Amino acid sequence: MIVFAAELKALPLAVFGIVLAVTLGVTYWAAKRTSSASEFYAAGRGITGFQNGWAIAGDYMSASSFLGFAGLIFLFGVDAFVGLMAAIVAFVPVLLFLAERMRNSGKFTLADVLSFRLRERPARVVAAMGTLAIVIIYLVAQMVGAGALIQALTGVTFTPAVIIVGGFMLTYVLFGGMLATTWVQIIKATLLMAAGTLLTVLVLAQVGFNPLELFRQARDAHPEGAAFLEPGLQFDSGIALLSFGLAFVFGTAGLPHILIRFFTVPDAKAARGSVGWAVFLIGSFYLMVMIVGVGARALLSEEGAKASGETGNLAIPELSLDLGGGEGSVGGDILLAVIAAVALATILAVVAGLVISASGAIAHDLWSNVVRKGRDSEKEEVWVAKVAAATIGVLAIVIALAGGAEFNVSVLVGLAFCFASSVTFPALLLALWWREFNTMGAVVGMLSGLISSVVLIGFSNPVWPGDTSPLGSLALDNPAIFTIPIGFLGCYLGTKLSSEKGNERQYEELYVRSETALGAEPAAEPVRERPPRREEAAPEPVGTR
Amino acid sequence: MGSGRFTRADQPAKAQTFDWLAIERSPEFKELVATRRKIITPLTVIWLVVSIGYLILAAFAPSVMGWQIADGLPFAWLAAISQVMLTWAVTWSYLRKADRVIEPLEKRAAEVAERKVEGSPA
Repeated sequence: MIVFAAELKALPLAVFGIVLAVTLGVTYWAAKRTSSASEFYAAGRGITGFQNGWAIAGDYMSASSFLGFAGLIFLFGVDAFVGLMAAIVAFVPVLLFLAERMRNSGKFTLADVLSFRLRERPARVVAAMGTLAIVIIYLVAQMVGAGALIQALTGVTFTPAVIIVGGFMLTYVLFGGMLATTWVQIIKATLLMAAGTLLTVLVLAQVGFNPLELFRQARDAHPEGAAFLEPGLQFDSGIALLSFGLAFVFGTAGLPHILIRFFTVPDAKAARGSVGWAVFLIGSFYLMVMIVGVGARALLSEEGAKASGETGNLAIPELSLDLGGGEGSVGGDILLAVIAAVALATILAVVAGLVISASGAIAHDLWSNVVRKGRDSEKEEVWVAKVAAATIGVLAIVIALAGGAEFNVSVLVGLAFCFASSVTFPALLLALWWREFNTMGAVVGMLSGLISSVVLIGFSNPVWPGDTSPLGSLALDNPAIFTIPIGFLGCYLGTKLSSEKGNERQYEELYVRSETALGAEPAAEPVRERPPRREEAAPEPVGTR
Repeated sequence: MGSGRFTRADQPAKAQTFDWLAIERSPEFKELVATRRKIITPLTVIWLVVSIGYLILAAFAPSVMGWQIADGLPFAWLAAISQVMLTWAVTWSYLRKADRVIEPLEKRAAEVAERKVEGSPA
């Protein structure tokens, strides 16, 4: 028999309940406004740039940003700043190369942009494969992390915790589509910023608002002493650090669930503006995470440090308990409950965004445009998208439960970023900027990025059976330093070696559209009540192809 | 074309009537693209140098990254802060130029193209 709860903690569960109730209310509101495909995938393109900036922040900052990175800083000191910083500078290429162009030339998925100028079916199939590979791995990582966290924070055990998270995720997506997902992400980002600010102020108050004192105390508290303030604790080698950093720097611009957020705004101006808000929020949050992570090392008692776990994931919850007044105090319990609820909201917002991007890849790319060749009705596409979302969600729940806590969450997240940087990013960038690029180039490039990532991760130390990989010091937990060039090289060689001629006319169209917004998907009319279903089911006019 | 892209009723029908090649060759479009490139290129170079430079320092120059500027003030912290500042500065600079310089050119290029469609007999 499954044990559903070891030792339930009432207060965190109550705060969880409030957060969940609010998100369900939002979903109910959004469900009335979601029926067409553009409403389901893209919230009717009626999200403002400001709202979308908050939603991007909510979509991007997973529990690994909040608890994971702070935990790594707690364990390894300044070496762990690198991951955070690679994750913020990564928004520059998103802004300069992709945000406006995605909005101008795409509709619902990354493959829309690729298939504009490439042969549609192969381009959509490989792009959808890349999207699904990234999303499923990222989703499983979040689920496993969620299960472990909820267990630690509330006493609800791993299996029911994963099922609850999966259930809420599917509720948002199936009933409220992108509109509900967006508002869950905005609420989460608000909670996260508030929690980050609160913790930062409380930590700094302990040292008289002198960060230097905080660093000194952390150094003195760390078993390695001065090494806490020097690089070298987290990464085995310089190459390992560089490769890990590159995966984040170039991977963000290939993450499907981030890029599809640009389809939710009315125009390119709002798309670029939303990146401005997002980097302001994410950058501020990361500055605070550094203080809080160092603070956890400086301020946690020996007991608290031990309770933070081998991964450091629980350093922040332990710290909030201490800052609130310690174990058993009212203040400590309340602060811990609030932080736990923020962590839960964080996970829910990210997984909902991931599932929507996967459902688009399956329903819009594979079903509607490859299998049905655009002959399906819009109603059918939305229906397939919901079935796809449910299937992906259930699949991720099953994988997470089957692998359980055995999966190393940071290996999975690293793998997802490695895929994004070497599969989707090169093809997307070249499709928009390289005139000669053709279908063969995209197919070869994406497949070589995908296969090389899988093979090299298979050879990495955490995965390879036994402790030492045959690749020796070149076996990297995150092989992006090899796979990004392989992905680009695949695109280049595939293009140059195939006899296929690039379709000039379509490149010109994509080029002009992406630069000028001519022919871009219009924003929907102001959000309206659900239209009568019958109208939608009207047959497509004959001969539209 | 064998494509599902333009078959849906929700697609703007006008998109098919533009002469994309003519727009691409128009001086207005060329100016738009050249201007945007002039803005993006230096920002990209600055971004690449600073962000990859940071990673390389962290990876291969432990003596620099491990420098303690003062007691309790590690260089690594300031270097990390510099990355956030870099991101903010590049973003702000691009958004400002996009609003002031690029957007008017974008509008003009689009207007010229739309006028051509209206004026053409087809």
